Amino acid sequence: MAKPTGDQGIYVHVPFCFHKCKYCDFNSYPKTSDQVIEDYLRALRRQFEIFEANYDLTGQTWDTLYIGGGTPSVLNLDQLKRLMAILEAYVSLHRHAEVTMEINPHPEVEKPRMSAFLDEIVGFVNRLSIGCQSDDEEKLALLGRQHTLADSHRVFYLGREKGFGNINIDLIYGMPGQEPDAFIRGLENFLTLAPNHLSLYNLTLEPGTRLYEEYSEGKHEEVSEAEIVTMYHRAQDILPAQGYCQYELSNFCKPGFASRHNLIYWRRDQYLGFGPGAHSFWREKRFSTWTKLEDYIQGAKNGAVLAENWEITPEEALAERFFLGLRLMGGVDLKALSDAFQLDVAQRYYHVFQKLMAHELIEKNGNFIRLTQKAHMISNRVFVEFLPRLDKR
Amino acid sequence: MQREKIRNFSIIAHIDHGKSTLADRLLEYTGALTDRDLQDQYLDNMDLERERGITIKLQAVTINYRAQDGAMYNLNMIDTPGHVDFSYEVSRSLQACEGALLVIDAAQGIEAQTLANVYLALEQDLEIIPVINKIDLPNANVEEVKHELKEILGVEEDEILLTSAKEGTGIEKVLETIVTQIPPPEKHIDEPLKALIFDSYYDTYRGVITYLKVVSGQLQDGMEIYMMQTGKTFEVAEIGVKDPHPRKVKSLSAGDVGYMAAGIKDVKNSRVGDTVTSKENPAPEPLPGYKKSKPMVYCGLFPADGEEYDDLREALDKLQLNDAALLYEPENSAALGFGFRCGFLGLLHMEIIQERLEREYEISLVTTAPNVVYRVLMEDGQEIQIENPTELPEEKKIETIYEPVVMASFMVPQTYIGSVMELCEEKRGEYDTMEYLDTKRVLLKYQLPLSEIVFDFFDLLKSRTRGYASFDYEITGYQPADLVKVDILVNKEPVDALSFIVHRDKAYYKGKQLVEKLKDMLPRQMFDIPVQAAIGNKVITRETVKAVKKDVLAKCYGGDVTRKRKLLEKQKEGKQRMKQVGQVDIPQEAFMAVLSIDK
Repeated sequence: MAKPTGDQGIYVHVPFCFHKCKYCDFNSYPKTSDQVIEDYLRALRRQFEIFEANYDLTGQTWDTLYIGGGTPSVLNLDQLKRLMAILEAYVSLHRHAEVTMEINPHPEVEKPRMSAFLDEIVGFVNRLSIGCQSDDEEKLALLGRQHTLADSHRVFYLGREKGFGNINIDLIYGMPGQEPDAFIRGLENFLTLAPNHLSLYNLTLEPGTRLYEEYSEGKHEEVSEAEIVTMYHRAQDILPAQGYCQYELSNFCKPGFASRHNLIYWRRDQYLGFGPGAHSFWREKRFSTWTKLEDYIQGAKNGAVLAENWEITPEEALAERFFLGLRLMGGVDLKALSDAFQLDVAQRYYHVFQKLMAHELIEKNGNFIRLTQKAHMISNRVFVEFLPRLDKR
Repeated sequence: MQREKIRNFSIIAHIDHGKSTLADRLLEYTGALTDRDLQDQYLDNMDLERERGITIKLQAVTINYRAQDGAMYNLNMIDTPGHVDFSYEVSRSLQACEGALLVIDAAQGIEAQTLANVYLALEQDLEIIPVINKIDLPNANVEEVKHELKEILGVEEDEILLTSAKEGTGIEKVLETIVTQIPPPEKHIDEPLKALIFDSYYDTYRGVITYLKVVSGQLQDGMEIYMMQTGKTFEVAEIGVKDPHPRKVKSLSAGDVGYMAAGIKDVKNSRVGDTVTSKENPAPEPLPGYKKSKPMVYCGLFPADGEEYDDLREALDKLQLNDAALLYEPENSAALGFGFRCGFLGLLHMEIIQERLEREYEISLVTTAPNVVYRVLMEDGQEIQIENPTELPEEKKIETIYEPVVMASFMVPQTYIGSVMELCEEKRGEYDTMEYLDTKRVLLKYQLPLSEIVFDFFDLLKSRTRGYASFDYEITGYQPADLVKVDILVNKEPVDALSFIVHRDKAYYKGKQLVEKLKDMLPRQMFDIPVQAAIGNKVITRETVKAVKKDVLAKCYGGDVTRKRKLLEKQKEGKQRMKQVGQVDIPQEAFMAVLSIDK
């Protein structure tokens, strides 16, 4: 296997929120006591110590740092400072590194707090990612979000005011009872803010979430697949005219403002994850820490933070290159792949390519193959073709 | 061992009433098994049996017991299956015995299988020792069960033994009663050798091992034997008993039960029910053998991957070595390729075979609805035989279709006569006769189309009569019937393995149900899939499997990769297990869907 090239990044998971949204299946906990956060920070530092020993953290330079959650912006100033101190001690950033932090919109009354928060991070964080989700009050309630459209605008302006030149907005579409026109109107509303980056996600109902339960009980309208596809295609139609380029299935940006950190995932570059339930990909091994907060804290005390560890075989690695790489609109470079894996990729997948091209799901352009627009919404059907035939157990 | 000191007995009971634990205790009490040996339920040694908690294969074990009279006795214990499907196996072992322990759960009382096996034992003139087991249970109702036993079987109070196999109580009494109540095998030592084969299995190193009971004469190591049914001769290489581990002996005499290895390579040459005699001094007549077990359930078994056809054939050959009741013959389907039509004793038997094929032989199977053989009189006077619904010619060329019919005899307790009659009427049965066998049971006869009983009729009968009814059938001939063939078209292509022949009155109803079921079972493709049922050229009903529009993962970040790969792998595996027919994937379960309609 070829040596890793490209960026390498660090992910930090801050698992606290003020409130659990109805659709959320992330690893997040209500911010209860400061003691819990204290324990978390201690465990986090411990994990950095352990990883420093195992992976020589400080001996390397990192191209991206992503602080996500949960809602990192629930930390108070003191806790925020402690977090940043840990990061500054262990993460040596490249001069032009991209440092992202996720924040949530806030009501007017929280403005002073948010203002101070942003002041604290502005020298360190150079990219904000705001979870706006929707413009529509009713849909925000359906999702269980605790903010309004005005709050979204508010925090965005605050960010710009403080000097953040790189801001992303997350939006969700395909919600029960949502009409394509309404969605587009909402999208256009957010476009007036001129964010540098947009992530558009179709709503996924995850088992175990309250929304899933409500939906199973018939409390929400059926969501039509056709309408979801329509919303997606219409967004794809209007965004280029507004200066946004789609570079991944769910991600759009103004030129130069792609998420470098997320590109690490799709390009299969390396990253290390910190915090509970954080994943890493390092030297062809994928591993993750304990998901449950108590387990993570306890594990850190014992010096054992890893819960799972997989060795990725060459077969699996090749499959990953396809189902990750094809998410990017640029597609997959077959020649580079062939060199990296020491085999003729085009020949190995000849029948798969023929079949997918016959169905107009992929197109070939020189050494590159990529998804056609038709394939976007059924991309899993394409990806499954690249998995090796499973042997009998 | 002297003949008078031998006792041959079986333990018969309903599933789970504790017969295997009781068997364990008997072995343990007499020191046959040390603590180290004692694997719970030693006699059930197949994994599948352990898992399902049932006995399938017979095992025969010799227990050496010193009775209260001071003498040493050989108690040959034969374990029996408790499930209705295996009554054939039960009767095999009973023929080798003079007595049987009838084990009843103190909390459950007498159940259907108990009765069925008791009748089998009575038919063989066996001495029955009733044992009420599990008396330790809090909800044990010993008095009531005693009452039941007295009522239904006419036993006396003092004949009934009480045990708790789990706690080990009453075990010695059981052993004593076996010695005192069960007669020794009949005296035939001076007569020519006659030994009844009641089981056999194939051992990779020693060849076929035959379990037999010597009825008369003597079987000796090294002698030349002659199989009376197959006419083959062999030289005895080894004979022995299992007490419970195999132990070689020099000879087995009248009354003994043991095993023999005689260089037999093919189990077909060691047929259950056959009589072994001496080549030098053969017996004039064989022992009465068994009725060949009749398959109650048929189905089609096809390898999901056509390349595994040979593996499937070999596997079936091997399974048949130890399962004489399994029948199979080659069958061919345009949709599914080459496979086999198989006959089983019942649905459990079928499921077990399927599971063994998938697990032990690692063959992915497609199971299809079973067929019967029809006869067709053509317009031009020609008569043809139809083994497969797809062979049925066009309606207009057919003068008459004839279907095979059976005369079914049901043994039913009076209370269930109505249920049985109702079931038969539903299955296009024609009432024949009814007579009372005794105050409680009735013999009911119905003529039924074979096609109506080849699959789940047996199960339906059992469930509607709480297991108390049993039935047997004989194919009596063919009768004309108003039958049509319903074809199923998926994506406009007929899928032959889904076609079925049905009575005209039921055609629309069954077609509609099947098509609706298929619509839910077929995975969505990237185009709409029409699913239609048709008779001839006429489409009688239709559904559509809508094209998939959305199958995408919105977020794929660091922690999602492994989960995503596993999800895709699952999708891929699901796809691999399906049969591709044209552009459409059809799951294996779909081929059986035709059967589970109209329950």
